[in-house]
Order: sequence, then structure tokens, then C-alpha cells
Amino acid sequence: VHLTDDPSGPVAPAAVLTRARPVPRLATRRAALHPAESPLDALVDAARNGSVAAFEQIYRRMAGQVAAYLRWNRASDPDGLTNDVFIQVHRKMATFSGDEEGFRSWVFTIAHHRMIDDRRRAGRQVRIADGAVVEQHGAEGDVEVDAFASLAHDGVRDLLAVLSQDQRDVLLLRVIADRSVEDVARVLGKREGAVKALQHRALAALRRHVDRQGVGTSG
Amino acid sequence: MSEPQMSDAETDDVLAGLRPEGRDDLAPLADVVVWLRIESQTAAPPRMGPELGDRLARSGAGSRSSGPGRLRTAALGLAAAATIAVGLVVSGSRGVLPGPVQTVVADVGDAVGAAFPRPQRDPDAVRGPGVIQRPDDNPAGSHAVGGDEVPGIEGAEEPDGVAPSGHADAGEGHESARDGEDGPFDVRCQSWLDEHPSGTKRAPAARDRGGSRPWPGGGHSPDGPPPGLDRHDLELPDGQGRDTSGAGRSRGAGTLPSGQGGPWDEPCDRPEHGRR
Repeated sequence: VHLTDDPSGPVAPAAVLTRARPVPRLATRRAALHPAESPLDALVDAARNGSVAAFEQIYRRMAGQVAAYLRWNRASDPDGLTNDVFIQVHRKMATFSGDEEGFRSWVFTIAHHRMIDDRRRAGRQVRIADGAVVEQHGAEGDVEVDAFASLAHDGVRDLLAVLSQDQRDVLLLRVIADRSVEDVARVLGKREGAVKALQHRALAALRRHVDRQGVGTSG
Repeated sequence: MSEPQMSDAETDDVLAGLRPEGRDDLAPLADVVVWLRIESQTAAPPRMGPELGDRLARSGAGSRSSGPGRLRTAALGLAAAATIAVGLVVSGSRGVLPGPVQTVVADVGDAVGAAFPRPQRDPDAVRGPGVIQRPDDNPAGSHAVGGDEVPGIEGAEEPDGVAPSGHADAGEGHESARDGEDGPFDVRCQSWLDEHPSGTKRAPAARDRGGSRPWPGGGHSPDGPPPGLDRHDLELPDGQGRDTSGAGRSRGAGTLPSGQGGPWDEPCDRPEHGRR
């Protein structure tokens, strides 16, 4: 088993971006975003006892992932929904009990429910606004890097578009939220067997799509 | 073209961003997963919206563990103290208030930038250390306690969130102890005192300084007052401690806007204070 994470930076998926080169600034940006992190457990405890500073750290730590989960799930207003999620988290913070993993699962459960509400409101699946994508990668400040990042983003977005909603839910919870099969089953209210079947089918669908595109593997 | 099935282990590897050994065909999927993971983990958090910000700000006002919350509590306590002080002076109580309370008012005034007259130092007006009463002698529960140095505004940031009430600003005790003129007494709330393991209460400064300061009445104990007594047992003569406490609170409390009677306005004469 080989780790695909290139130490020089994240590799844009060759399946969707054959010219992809490492995006060196992302690693730097990640380090800048999470300097000398406190354990999330400690932050959760402090926030539960009323520490605003701890809650703000939790927000900074997790809001990006929550927003990404909502964005890749085509939520109509990922940033607004993320705020709604954390309002709910803050409201119920005192009632939460559990460890870091439990907290993450709890947050993404709230996020998932908000997304379902959003879907119902919208009544249709809303495509991700191109402007949002450009804005997301606009902070790099390097035209070439931005272009590659945007292409990769568009490629992944198109790739995920081949999945059913259930498959996408499972895949994004497993990948972006980094939840286990058990956690995903709890979040989605499904059995673990169903989640495993969905993730199998999701990966198979992605692989078929990649094969059809005739894109080689990354080197 | 038939595609080889993926085992559970291979699926888990791919979803973890790993390339299963001998399955180069799955490498593109692993790459996609890695890209997705990194993209989401490096995504900047969205700007906090006004609703969430307001909610945090409101909870911060009542927070007892965060720095900003504690500062806010301190500011509220100071504002309340100033309000009480203004109320006392404006209501014409200048000549009526006992010396310690006038000093407290003046100190609070100094802290908030307002000038209030300081009391004349009259040794007969208030007698501190020489008079010690048993707990039963002090049913009203106000306390004239020993005048070891106590923290000033720090009291407004106590971990338990109880800030000093306006009439019992710590500045008085601080000044008195330094001056050494009026003897070690002042009027303060229970919130200023630490619980002693023995069950007595004493000011933090006494503990910090190793109790080297002699206690009123001739005792010199490293742990506090003479046996059988603690600082709550000390009282001003003629019930002045009781009067001053009541005067400051009753007058000041009436001047406070509704809704501000928070923890900093904790009364000093709760019954349990005088019945230890």
C-alpha cells in the first residue's frame, strides 16, 4: 500500500486533470490554518463550559470541512448553512457528551440534516455556482496554480455528478468528514451493510467513469 | 471489459486515500480521494454570520471561563460600582456614609474617572481591630474583616464570576493596608474570600503572604484569625459594618438598571455570612 499524498503538496487527481501538478501552497496554507492545534477534546470541554474562545476555535477548525461537505453536496448556500449548523451546535453544546470522534459525528449529523432541509426547500439539486469555485481558489494568488486548482475542482465536481445522492452522501461523509462506516450509518440512518454497499457502488461508478474518460493514473 | 471487484479492505484503502497494493487501476480513485480530503481540510472556514456572532457575543457576556467574558463581567461590575457610587453621592449621603464606605466610593470614583470626596480620617469614627465579636453577635451578617491586601479589580474577574459589589470595592482594603492608618478592616463580600480547608474563610492575600500579618486582637496565626474566630467575626463597633453594607447596597441597587443585577451584585449580608 502506498500513500498517495505527495509531501511537496497535494496532487490534483490525474483521473480528472492530466496536467495536474502539485499545488505547493495548499500545504503551507493548511499549516497556517492550524498552527499548534489544541486537542479538539479540550476545546469541546471548554466550549461546553461556556468558553466562547474555545467555540470559535472549534468553528475555525471544523467550519471549512462542514462547508466543503455542504458545497460538494450541492447545497444552495453552503456558507449560510454552515453558520446554521454551528448555531445549532452552540445551542445544544451543553447537552453534548462524548469524545472528539463523537463530536465530529454529531456536527456532521447536524450538517447532513440541514442539507436535507435545504434540498427540500430547493426542491431540486442546485449546481455549484462557478463563482463560488473561483472564489474558493482565488486566495492562492497565482494564476497558474489557480487555474489548475479550478480545473481539478471542476473535474472532481463532474466526477461526483455521476453518483446518486445516496452514494455521494456516503462518499463525502467517508472522505470529507472522515467518518467510519458505523458513523456514516448513524448519520444517514442506514444500516452498516447498506452503507458498505453504497460506497462499493460509488467507487465502482467512479472507476467506470474514469475508465470511460481514458485518463491515465498519476505518476 | 470486466472490472475486478474491490474487496472491503481495498475499498477502505481507497477511501483513506491509499493505493491498494497491486491495484494500480484504483490509483486514480485514491488520488481523487486525497485531493478531496486535502481540499476540504484546507478550505478556509466561511465568515461567521451575524446571527452566530451575536449568539456568541451574548453567551460571552455570561461566560465565566473565557477571557473576553471575564473582562466583560469586570466592566459590568465596574459600571455597577460607578452607578452605586454616583447614586450614593447624588442622593446626599455624603455626610451620612461611614468613612470606609466613603473611601470605597472615592476609590470607585477614581477608577471610573469621577472625583468623590474622601472621608476625614477620624480614629473615633471607625474602630477596627480592637473590637471582635462572636458570630452570634453579628446576625445581620455584614463583615468588617481584616485588612490584608486584597486584589483590586481582579475581584471582578474571579473564576466563579462573582465580581465585587459596588460598595465593597477592593481598593479600600488595599489602601488601608498600605496606609496602615485605619487598621486592617474594610467591608467586603464573601466573594472576596477563599474557603479555607479548616472551614474558615480568609482573604487570598493572607494565604499568599503566609499569614505573617498579625490578626486583630493580638493573635498572630499563620493560618488566620485566633482560634475560634475568623475574619467574618470581626466587626466594626456600633454596628457600622452592618450599616455601611446595607447602605451601599440598598442605595446602589436602586440605581441599577433592571437586568443588571448580575452576579456582581451579590448581597453581602446573606444570612450564612454571619452564622459561621
